[in-house]
Amino acid sequence: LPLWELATADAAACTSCGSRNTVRVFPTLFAAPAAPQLPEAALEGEAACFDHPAKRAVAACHQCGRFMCPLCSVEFDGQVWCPSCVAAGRGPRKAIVLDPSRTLYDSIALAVPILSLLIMWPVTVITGPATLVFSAMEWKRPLSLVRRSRWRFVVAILISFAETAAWLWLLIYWWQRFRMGRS
Amino acid sequence: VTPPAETYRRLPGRRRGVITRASIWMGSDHLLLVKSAWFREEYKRFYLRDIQAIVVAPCARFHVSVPILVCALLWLLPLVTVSLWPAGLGVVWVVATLAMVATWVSISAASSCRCRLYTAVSRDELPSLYRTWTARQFLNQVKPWIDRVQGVVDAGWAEAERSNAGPAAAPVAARSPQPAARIARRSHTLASDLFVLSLFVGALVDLSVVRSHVAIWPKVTTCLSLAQLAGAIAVMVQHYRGVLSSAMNKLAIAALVPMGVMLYAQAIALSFPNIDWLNVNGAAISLSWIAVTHQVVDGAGLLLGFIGAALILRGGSPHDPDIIKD
Repeated sequence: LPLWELATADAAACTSCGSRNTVRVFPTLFAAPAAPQLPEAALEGEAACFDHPAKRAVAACHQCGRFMCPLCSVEFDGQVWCPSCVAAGRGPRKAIVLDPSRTLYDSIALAVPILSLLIMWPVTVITGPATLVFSAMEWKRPLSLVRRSRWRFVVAILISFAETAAWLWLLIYWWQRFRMGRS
Repeated sequence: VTPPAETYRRLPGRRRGVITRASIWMGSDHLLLVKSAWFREEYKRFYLRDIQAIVVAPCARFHVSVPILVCALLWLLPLVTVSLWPAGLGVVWVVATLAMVATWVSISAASSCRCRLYTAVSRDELPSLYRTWTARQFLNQVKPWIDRVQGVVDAGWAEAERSNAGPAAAPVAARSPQPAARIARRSHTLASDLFVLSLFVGALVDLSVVRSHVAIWPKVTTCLSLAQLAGAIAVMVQHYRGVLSSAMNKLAIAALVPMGVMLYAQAIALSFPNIDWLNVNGAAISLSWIAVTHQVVDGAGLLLGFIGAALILRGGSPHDPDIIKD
């Protein structure tokens, strides 16, 4: 479809199957792409790019201070970073803006005691205390970006504590019976 | 000093598979697509200033989500007592099962879609949006935010291009920020008012005749239950169409829960006609057990009726998440 039609219509028919698609387009679609800013050659005595010594530096990395040419400067969260710092994820904002993925330790802590109880309960003699230790060790780990509450850790600790206590009680009970049997 | 964490608001649409899940969230200046498998989440950010288009393409999606799976298992659970069922109940159960399967198939075939988000350098599918009504809700919520960041396309430009029969010149987008569209949902409609009324009347009538032996009352209470069911469905349909607020929708869902509990209780009681439930001191009290369940469910219905009345009287709340404020 021509751009003007996309801009005014809310639907577009597929050219191969004919299905009627709902389309919402936004002004960025019509904006002409910005021309790339090419680096200039560095003259004698001028500051040069760290990675391209022949190119003139135009900015310094906000994190490590390295000089950068236009090709190397990365606009990032209102600052200019060098590619190395972006790749390494340096700086205090790393945990917030750079995380492409996270492991959900709280979900692991919750799943282990419950699944072991449901699938093979004798294993809880190991998984109960292990979950307690695991929850204590991983308590301060960052959670999911979109979930803030640590209730999974709390429930996991309560369940694993109950499992551990039950096993302790059972062991003491068996020990008492064993002693009584011997006497 | 660690800067404050980004706060995200969930947007419509959630895909909950047995292993994989997906959802999409609104941040301060970007959409966050969250895909998770087992115990790991992967994130992809789409900055509002970079989004070029969102396309919803209708197609069949036969996705079995975890809630549907759980409902199916709960529905199949009473089969363990099938040998004890009265003659007619089995037929009703099979017909209801076929109706539910047909509904799921028709929704999956006719009301499903793929939603794709386009930027200058990428084309990504949003897996959490696979039903057309959810995609519509998503678009209605997201478009005002993107318009606020990017502005809107100048209508005059499109008209000029149409009359010139071809976009030869560079298109111009009006970059002046426009106020976000207000998606105003009503706190109550005639259907929701009747639904709340049916909650009150149903609960009060059932409470007053629960121990009555007059033959007409069970039919009356059944009709009132059907009215409540129809009202709840109407409220949910109006919510999906963007007419009613989410609070009333939640009330309708909450009202369906005690009705389901009551149906289960009655089905179980019918399945074991000769067993004395909670046999205390040799006296059969199965009928009392059903009556107590009735009273508990009626109490819940009455409470929900009061909540519904409060929602109606309160009117539009400034904290309604469905209303995007300027």
